Amino acid sequence: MYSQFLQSCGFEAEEIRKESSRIDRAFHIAGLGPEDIERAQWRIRKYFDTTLLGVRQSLKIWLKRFTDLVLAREEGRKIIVYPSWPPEPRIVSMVAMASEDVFCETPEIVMDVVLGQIFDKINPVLEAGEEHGLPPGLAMCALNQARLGGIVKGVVPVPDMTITTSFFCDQTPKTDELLHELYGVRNIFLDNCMDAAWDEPVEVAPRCVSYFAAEIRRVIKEFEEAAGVTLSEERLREARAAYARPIFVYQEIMQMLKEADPQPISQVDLGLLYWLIQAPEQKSLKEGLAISNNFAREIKARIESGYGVVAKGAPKIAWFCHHATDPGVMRMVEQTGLAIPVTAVIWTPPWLRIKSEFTTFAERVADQTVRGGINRSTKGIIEFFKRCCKEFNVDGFLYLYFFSCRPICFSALMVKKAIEKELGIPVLALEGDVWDTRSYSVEALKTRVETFAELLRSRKLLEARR
Amino acid sequence: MQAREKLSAHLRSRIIELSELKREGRKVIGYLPGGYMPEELVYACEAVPVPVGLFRGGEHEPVLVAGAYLPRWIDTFCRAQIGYKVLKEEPLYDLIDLLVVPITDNNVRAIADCWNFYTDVEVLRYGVPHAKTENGFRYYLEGLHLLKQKLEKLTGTKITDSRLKDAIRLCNEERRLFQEISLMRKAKCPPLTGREFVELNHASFLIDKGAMVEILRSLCSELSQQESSRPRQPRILLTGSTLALGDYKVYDLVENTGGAIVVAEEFAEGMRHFSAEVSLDGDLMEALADCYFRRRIPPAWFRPARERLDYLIRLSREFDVDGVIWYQLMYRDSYDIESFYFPRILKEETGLSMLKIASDYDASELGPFRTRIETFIQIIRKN
Repeated sequence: MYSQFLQSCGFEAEEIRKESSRIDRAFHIAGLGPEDIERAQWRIRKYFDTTLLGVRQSLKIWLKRFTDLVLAREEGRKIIVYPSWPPEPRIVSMVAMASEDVFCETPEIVMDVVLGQIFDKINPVLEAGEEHGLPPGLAMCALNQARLGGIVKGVVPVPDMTITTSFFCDQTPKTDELLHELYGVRNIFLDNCMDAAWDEPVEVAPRCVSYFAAEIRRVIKEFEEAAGVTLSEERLREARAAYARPIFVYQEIMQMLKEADPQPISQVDLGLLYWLIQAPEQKSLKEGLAISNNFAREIKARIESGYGVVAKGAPKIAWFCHHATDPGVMRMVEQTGLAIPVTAVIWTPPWLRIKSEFTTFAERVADQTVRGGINRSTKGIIEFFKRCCKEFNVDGFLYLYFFSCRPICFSALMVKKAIEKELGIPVLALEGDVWDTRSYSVEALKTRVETFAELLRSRKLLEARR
Repeated sequence: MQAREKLSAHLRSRIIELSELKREGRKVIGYLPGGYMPEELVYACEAVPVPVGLFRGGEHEPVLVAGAYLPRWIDTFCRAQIGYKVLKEEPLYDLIDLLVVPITDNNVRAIADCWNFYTDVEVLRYGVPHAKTENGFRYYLEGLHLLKQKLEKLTGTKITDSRLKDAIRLCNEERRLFQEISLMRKAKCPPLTGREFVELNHASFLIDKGAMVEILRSLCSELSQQESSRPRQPRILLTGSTLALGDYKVYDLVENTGGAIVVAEEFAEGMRHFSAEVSLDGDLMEALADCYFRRRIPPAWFRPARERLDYLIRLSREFDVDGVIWYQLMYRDSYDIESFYFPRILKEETGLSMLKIASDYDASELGPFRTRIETFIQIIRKN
């Protein structure tokens, strides 16, 4: 029934034959019918470049992840664990690779990509979340609404446990507490404190690493006890490496985009890969590296051939984070003639490229996370964005910040003021949300983005004349 | 009452006293009144603690002014603290030599970051872990040591065990007296209203600790001799995120318009916590951390935060309350989420009903608040 759709998402005939009954069942549970499939096909044609192997492979793996998630309980997966977003991805990798009995998935990201980007049907899930403890009008995170709403609607199964970082975001651990109160789900919290001194944006006090490392060890122990698995130090290192390998390739892709003119690929297409490797599960950990390599190879070929998705010489902007639910937003920005060589959230700043002095899994992860900038402090975020804009030599920063994300939104105006003052480039701070487009639309943003693009083009022209 | 008159006199002259103390070289330490900054350490180095975020709240103008500095999706109280600083109408905010911010959640972190970014005031942060684990306790204790070192450096006064013990004794005495007064509210006719109690609590943040203890002693004695023959009024437990000085609209609506009385409160910020005392045995820094972190009733941003909800149920029973009013400020997400499932727990455990109201410190809220509170009191009165 859905063969044509699955083919456009990179499925081979044999795979369709093998997987179609499972996919049908998952779509049925999620309430996806023929009209939805038709719309999804239209959206894929409109927003994604399926001539790229990397894009087709990504779409396929997302549909497989969605199917696995929806059917996890029906298919008898013994232990279902939902880590949350924002994650500590190396901990997520650790859980995903712990045992074949453990099914580990970040449901909100899967639903955002599949029901949001592909099917444009995420809103009923968000509304279900709103009706069950995350009401509208109070700046509740739509990612958490998806996490809760998916369970409420019966699209995704109730997990056995959740593992949540509880320092960057206050709302996600609270949402998991809500899951505990509503469904009796066991919560494991990974704690830390964002208390770095203002004048220490990237330096790390040893006590911060010690505390976070101790918390990681505690969480590993708690997970081992709850899941009945044992995680050796070697296994943990493997998990860390499995997460890191595609990330390294992604850094190489960004280096290519930094030098490229014209921009050879849309960030909408790259977004599929970004979410795949930033919210890892077993399939992504196994296949993510190969998909990343395919993207890298295809981008390289396009650069060599001079292919571009925006005009040569277009002003370059930095962007914060790939849109999770609506591919139309970033596509619109590129259509206004702005090149986006970097989405800051996955960029690795110089202070993270140095080799950690620590040797154990817990300390290395703690050191890297705390040093990360965004996870560190507002000053860390400011320094991170400044360095990113500088390194990619962008003409402006289009900062679509998430209004419902407390740690991101409260620093937005400080980021804007600091970059404009210290780097002398314009920053357009737009209040939006990459998890939910109900409070704004591509059309509403377009006028402002067009004006910003015009401003950047004029500045570029003026600079060229000087 | 003599004690209250004395208190009013102290409050009236306090800002002048503080200015004089500062002129004499005493350091003024501002802090967020969330109950994680032990005043004992400040007293032990002869500095003066002043709660920054407490002095005022409940007004809309500072909230509006803050809009130029951070988006509206942050807790109202936290936005207001930036507004007050910008408006420069409150001299207390300009006396501060150091602002101490125990980082609890992102709303509080926003205050620290805005003060850092937009002002020249030095800000000291230390983290409050979100779980009462042994790791968390150690980390909080390390934060207190950082604070101690900073205060010693700033004031040039060594915080010796002897000085710290004296400060702990004084603060313990204040806590004990508050506890004694609070427990008097278990009586059928409480000797003081909820508003009187919270004003007393707020005053204790501002005036000299020694003077406050004396006033509380006198008040205890006066209140214990007081006799009341009023009929029993509906009794309310008021709980929520923050209760700032000046933000008394709920008290007024409950006690003046509604004819009920607030007999117990539980707030994360703005109220002095007095249920636990600091031990004078063993390591005093550990004793402070034990009292302020381990034995403190945790706010909603602890994970899990069931301890607080169980405490509310205990308070409801012990103070024989008829209903719970959940008063929180806009966009305090942890409280918003808890307020969804707590009414069910409360109903199951005690049979009581809960009314939730959320404020953005806007005068236009008063009408709807009045209607809702009056209706709620009518309902619980019938019950």
